Amino acid sequence: MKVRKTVDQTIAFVTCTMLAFMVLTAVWQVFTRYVLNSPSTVSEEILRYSLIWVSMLGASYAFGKKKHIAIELLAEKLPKNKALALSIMIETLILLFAMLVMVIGGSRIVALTMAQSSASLGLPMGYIYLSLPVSGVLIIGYSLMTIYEAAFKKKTNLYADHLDTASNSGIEG
Amino acid sequence: GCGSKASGSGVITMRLAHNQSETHPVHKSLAEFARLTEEKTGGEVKIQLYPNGQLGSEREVIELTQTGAVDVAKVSASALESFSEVYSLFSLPYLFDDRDHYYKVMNSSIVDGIYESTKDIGFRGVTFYDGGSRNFYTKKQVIMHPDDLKGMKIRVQPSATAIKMIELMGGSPTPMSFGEVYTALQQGVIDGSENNETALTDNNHGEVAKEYSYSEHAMVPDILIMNQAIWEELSEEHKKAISAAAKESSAFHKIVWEKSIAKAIKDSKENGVTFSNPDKEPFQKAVEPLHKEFAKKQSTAEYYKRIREASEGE
Amino acid sequence: MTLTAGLLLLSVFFVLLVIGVPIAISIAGASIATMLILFPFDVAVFTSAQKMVTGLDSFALLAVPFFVLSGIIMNNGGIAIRLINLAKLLAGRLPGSLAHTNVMGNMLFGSISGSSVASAAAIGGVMSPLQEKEGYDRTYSAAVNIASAPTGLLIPPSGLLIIYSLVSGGTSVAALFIAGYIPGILWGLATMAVAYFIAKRKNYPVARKVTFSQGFKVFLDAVPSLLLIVIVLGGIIAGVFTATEGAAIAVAYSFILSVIYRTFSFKLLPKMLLETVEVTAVIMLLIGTSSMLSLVMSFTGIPEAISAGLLGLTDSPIIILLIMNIILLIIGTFMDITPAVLIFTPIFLPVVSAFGMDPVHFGIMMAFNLCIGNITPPVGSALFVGCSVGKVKVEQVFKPLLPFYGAIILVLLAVTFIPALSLSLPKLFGL
Ligand code: NA
Ligand code: NA
Repeated sequence: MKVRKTVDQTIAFVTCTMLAFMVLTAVWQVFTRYVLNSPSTVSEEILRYSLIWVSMLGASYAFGKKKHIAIELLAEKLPKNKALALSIMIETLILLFAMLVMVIGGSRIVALTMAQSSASLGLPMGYIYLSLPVSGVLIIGYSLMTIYEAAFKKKTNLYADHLDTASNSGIEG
Repeated sequence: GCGSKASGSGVITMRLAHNQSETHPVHKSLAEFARLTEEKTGGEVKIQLYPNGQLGSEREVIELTQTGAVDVAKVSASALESFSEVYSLFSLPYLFDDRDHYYKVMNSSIVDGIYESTKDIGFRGVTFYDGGSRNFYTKKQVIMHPDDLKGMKIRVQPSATAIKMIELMGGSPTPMSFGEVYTALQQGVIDGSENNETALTDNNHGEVAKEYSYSEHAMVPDILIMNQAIWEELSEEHKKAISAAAKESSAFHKIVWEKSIAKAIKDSKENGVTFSNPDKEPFQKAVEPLHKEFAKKQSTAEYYKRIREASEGE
Repeated sequence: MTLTAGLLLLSVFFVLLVIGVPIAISIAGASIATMLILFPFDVAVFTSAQKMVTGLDSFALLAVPFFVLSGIIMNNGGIAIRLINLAKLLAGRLPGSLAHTNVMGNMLFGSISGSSVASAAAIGGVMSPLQEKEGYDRTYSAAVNIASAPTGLLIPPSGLLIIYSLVSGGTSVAALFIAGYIPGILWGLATMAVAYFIAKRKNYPVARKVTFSQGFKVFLDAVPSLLLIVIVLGGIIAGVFTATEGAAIAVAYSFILSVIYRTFSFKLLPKMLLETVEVTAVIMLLIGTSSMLSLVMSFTGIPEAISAGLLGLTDSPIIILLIMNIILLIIGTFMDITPAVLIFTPIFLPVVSAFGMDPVHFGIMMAFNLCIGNITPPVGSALFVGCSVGKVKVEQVFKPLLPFYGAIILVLLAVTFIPALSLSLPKLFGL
């Protein structure tokens, strides 16, 4: 699907750019302390908040790519039509979670914390919590696409067991 | 209130969250507050303590108090800064001349206005607990004058005022979370930090920092806050009883706190920490630009004036 | 209250997990279901959302994406082959030299890449064909590769120990890192011992002698890769930078090294970054939802109930630690390392603290346990990757793995009951 590809690419571009920027910021932090002898007072906060945004956006991307870790044993044993129904059920649960916690709960926090400011940058804390409803909406979008594919195209699309997620990298083993 | 549970018998149970351990003086004072509240309301209001930050960090707990998931919380005034700017006054170095001035203000009607300033965002201040005075401590070089801070990396709380203060005094402010300070001091990532004496003992900073110098640059109280909706639902008698219990527990805390500081000093001395008393005036001079700023800022101007005036009568 | 809440929490979690809901969402679902008996709907939803974000708001956690990224860069950077050459030299002329080379390679490469899966693939991928050519049994070489793959999770730097540091309430990362050395090396030595006896019985060949100058060249070749460990760990221990900053330095160093080795193509950079984002996000979502879980647990008092139950069962620390080892080994068979650490640290740590166990020692014991799970069926990422690069099926490799499991569990018992194995190095460095 074209929409899916565009959304994927946009998230990938934003998160990868942020990650590269984070590496540079952390190196900069060491540099200001040891070479310039005047520690950066904002880098620590920039890094913490960037991690939250990258994680939330990346989590939605990972839902789209089925990278979140799950135990697949049951689905593998089911006949195709039952596996399809199961896949729809799982997506519905995820959609429900994204809706209740990330979109509804997240929006409430954003509203509550817009007047609250962060300690060193003075940013409204709402900007940080905004990552919740934004990625919540993205997750809902991905879930709907998966449900559509399962219902109309008979495509089972389950979450990863460990191999895919962990392969080639990471601390996940 | 949504967090409190009124059972058939009419008993209201409130959740009180704070981030200190059960052996910390403030926990004892909060337990005293709970005991007094129950006593004064004839058992109609009960308070359950959740210590150790088990319900979250101070920022989280304040948000939970805003929504009513937590009814009462003890948090540092500096954590309240980002919710209501007027609380940033307490981070202003040398706002108070000394401990007498501090107590005079905190027990006066001046703070009532500050307590009420967060009504619209869902909570109110109830009382304060002495959080001691913040002083510099370093690994080796004793700080007797702002010049001694030159080139030194001093850990500060991640707050704009704290950063500015160290800059004005000539040091290099290094914002860092409190939990990292011990290792950072030990390994020389920073040269010093600033806090009250209990940091030397409760957090073992005295093992690695041997020079403690009474600059007394800040006295930041702990504030007891309560969800506004829950407060409004209380009957007049309950409000009165809780207010009285809160005031009494603050007085109780003054004594507990003094004892714990005396013990912290004694234990630190045994561990080889030296305590010095520098002349405060050069430090006060150095931060004057910050005073000008707070006297001008709209959110703090009025309270700044009233607090400073309260010192002049003496 | 505790009992009802505890049962609800467990049953919802278990049902969601078994039907294939992602683990993070299973944790969240169970937490929210339990929260709904404590709070009105809107408060439960608000609190869950808050925890999801604040659970990630930690400077220490930034080390995770950085170490992941540096591992990925090194995996593409021609570093593995230089370390294999060094491992060959170190493995020397023992029976089954190539098997020992594989173990040493996993320890060296795992140490810097911090990933059992990456080393199983990178080292095993090179070593398996070589071993087959020299007449080693395929299942034997796969078992050796799999059994030694997780050593890099214990030998620092280790993302796993960073996460433990966070959930255990700020245990020193530097202390944990250096505490992991001896247990990680012992694990490697245990697999080498088993590999030695089997190789001897099967008469597997011994490597040819190398001349001094050949050996010296191999060593020089590996020095830049090994310097990464010296710079990153040395920097952390000497206080030049924090663990998080050290991780960022590791990214910079491995990047520069790969550019020098001319194995780095800038075209690959976006792919590497994206892979890091994916791995990081999967872990972070787990951490975010686990912080919902820990809030629910502190409200309901479930950890205290379990703690009281365990302590009421017996007052012997030895038996309690044995019970914990068994529980963690069972959990490890089907659950991944990160969620298991997130779920079980807040439950078990108060129990062991009650009888005075050092949190650093406990962290190493727990990590060691769960690393075993990484190579056991039915679910184990290093096991799967090891089978796929070794071209064997999980069923075929299970029996050859048994003696290795035995040896590793003996080391586990030593790590559990001899605190000095974990704590003497941190003490030496004054951490
Ligand atoms: Na490692
Ligand atoms: Na397993």
